[in-house]
Amino acid sequence: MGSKLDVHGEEFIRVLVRRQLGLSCSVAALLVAALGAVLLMNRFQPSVMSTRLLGLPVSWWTVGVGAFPVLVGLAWVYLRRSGDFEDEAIGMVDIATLPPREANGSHPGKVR
Amino acid sequence: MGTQVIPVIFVTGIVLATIGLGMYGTRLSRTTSDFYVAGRGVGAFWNSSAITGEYLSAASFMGIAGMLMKYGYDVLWYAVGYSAGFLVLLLFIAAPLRRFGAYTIPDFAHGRLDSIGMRKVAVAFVLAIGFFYMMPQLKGAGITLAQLFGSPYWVGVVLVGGVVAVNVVIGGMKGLTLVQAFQHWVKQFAIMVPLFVIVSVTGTGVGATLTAAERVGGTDPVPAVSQDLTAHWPAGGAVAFTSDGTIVPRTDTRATLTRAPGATSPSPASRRVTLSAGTPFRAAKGERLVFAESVSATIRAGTTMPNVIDGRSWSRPFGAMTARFGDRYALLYTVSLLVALLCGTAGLPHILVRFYTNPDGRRARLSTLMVVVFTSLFYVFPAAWGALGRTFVPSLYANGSTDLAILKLPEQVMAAAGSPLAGAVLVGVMSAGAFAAFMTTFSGLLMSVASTFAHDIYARIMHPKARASARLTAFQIAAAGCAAIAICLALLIEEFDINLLVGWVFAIAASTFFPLLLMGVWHRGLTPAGAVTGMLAGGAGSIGSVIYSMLVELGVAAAPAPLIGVLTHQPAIWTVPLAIGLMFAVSRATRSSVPANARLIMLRLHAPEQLGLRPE
Repeated sequence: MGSKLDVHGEEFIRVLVRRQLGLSCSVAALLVAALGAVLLMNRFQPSVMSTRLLGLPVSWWTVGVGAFPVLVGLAWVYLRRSGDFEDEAIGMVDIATLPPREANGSHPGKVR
Repeated sequence: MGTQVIPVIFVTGIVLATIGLGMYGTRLSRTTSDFYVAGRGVGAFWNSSAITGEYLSAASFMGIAGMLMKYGYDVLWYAVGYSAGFLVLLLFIAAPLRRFGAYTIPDFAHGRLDSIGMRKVAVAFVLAIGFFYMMPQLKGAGITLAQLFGSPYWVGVVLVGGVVAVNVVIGGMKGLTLVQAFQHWVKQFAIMVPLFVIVSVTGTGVGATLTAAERVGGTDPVPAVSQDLTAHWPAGGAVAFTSDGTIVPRTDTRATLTRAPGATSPSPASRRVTLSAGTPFRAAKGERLVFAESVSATIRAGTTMPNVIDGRSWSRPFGAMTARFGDRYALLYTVSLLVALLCGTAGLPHILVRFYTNPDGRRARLSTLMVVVFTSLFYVFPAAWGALGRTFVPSLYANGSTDLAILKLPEQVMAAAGSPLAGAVLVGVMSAGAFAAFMTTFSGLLMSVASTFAHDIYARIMHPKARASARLTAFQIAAAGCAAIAICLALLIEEFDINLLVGWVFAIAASTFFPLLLMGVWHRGLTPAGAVTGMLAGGAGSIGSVIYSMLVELGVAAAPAPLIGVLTHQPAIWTVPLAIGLMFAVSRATRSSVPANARLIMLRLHAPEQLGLRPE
């Protein structure tokens, strides 16, 4: 990133919204792909999905058990990525364009 | 008789704990801000516990197990969908909504689009969703209490409604945060620990439990009713005979008799019959009796337990629930249900109001992640209850009361193992969990509906200059009034099915508030005209579909063609895209009315707090 951005400028808000929305949509796409894969396997490969592992059919494992760690994993990835991006966004801003702070506040550009 | 006192003690305990914690929380609650959103200083762990507590309603605690017992595999999608809804909320709504900083969803609608008209539309949908959602909670309380203690239906409704109203009136949200966090852990304990006890008694592992459930009506015949079984059916209740059988009504009753395809009989496929009081009615294999009015009746010993679907279709995808309009449309039905659950969570006003209690956007994300973890820990268990219920308490199938599986199962299994005392204790734990479920969800809904009256209608629309004390009084009056209305409404709906109502609320929320929030947060070009058009179209489409489906279920409207049936029974697949698409298109057409401060608001929604752009 060459020059710093005006916090109230057009470019800063566009970068902020685009990047965050891109991240959210990617994670949502993974969620849809995971759910869709199970649905389609159930419909078109029922014999695979009714195979038993440790007594329980694959279809029950995937939806009844396996889906939950996937949800938590996706949420975790999103939390990390979005936080990292926000730190990055703070660094992009031209400090001179920020509103003045109270004397006891830490300087916004230096957080983390 | 002695052991029956134990569940009473547990229920009394949970009610007293709720009142006590509410009063303790009240002492911490002082200002208007505290009252509505707990002063925004609640820690992530407690806030997540409270959100989860508020979310896990009667439908989750009792309904999923009951529905899974009835329909099998397809119901697993409910559990996953309810949990995945919070992932969608995390991805698109949580942090920006917190950063916007407002008390209620109508605040967001008004502030984001700078339009008082938006506030009014949002208020109308908060009230519609809120009252619609409160009714099944109170109904759950009524039937549970009736089941446990033989009390009339209204006792549970009035008891739970009254206790929660008092708590909300005196405590506001600070009181509630503590209560709801506590009740979440009560529910988690109740869905988990008694299950371990039961499984250790029956000695079945995960796979064996499913195999046993599958065998019922699969390789093994459905058990016959061993001794005369008397039960109560609401209007619309059905008895599907899987073999020739006999039923004796206590009162004269009208019914419709339908015949499964393939059954050989000269009589037409569907005809009206009248059953006379005390006269045995013989039904043939494959016949299905639907009562036109509520009735008590006795199924004679030797009749195969009615309403049990065969084990094979129970354990496979696209079974009786999703294929109700034919196997061809089962995939469509499942997808549309998932759309409603995934998007609906992010549109529930009583859940969304909780996001304002986080101190900042990042911690709003962190508490949402924790909610995904907490809900996941909860939703793995109801399926096991449902599968065990199929094997051990098949008598619940007779009148469709499988929602009571979580209460009946411990009693049955422990009595068979020779320890009815332990059974009573477990039933007590489950009853406490069920009460925690009705009370938390009802209090959250009451909070959001009452604050809509006090904050949005009274303070923002009618008397913008009202003082804080006047607003607090308005809130307390609104809370008491709304609770009274909800209690009256719930007394009228004894005959409606809890799960269906709750699933439909999700479809309505997904078609109204979810599009508003999604577009409001991410689309700078959203205009008031676009937002209103989208919400009204989504709301009309989903509410219209729901009402139509209810009329069909009650036999008032004729059954539609299968495709129309799917799209009205699960409307989210077309109403959600319709609302979002209209918001986009109409906003484009009315470009000139994009609010002047839209860019500033986008910055407020998305900029990290560290930049110090907010006045707070």
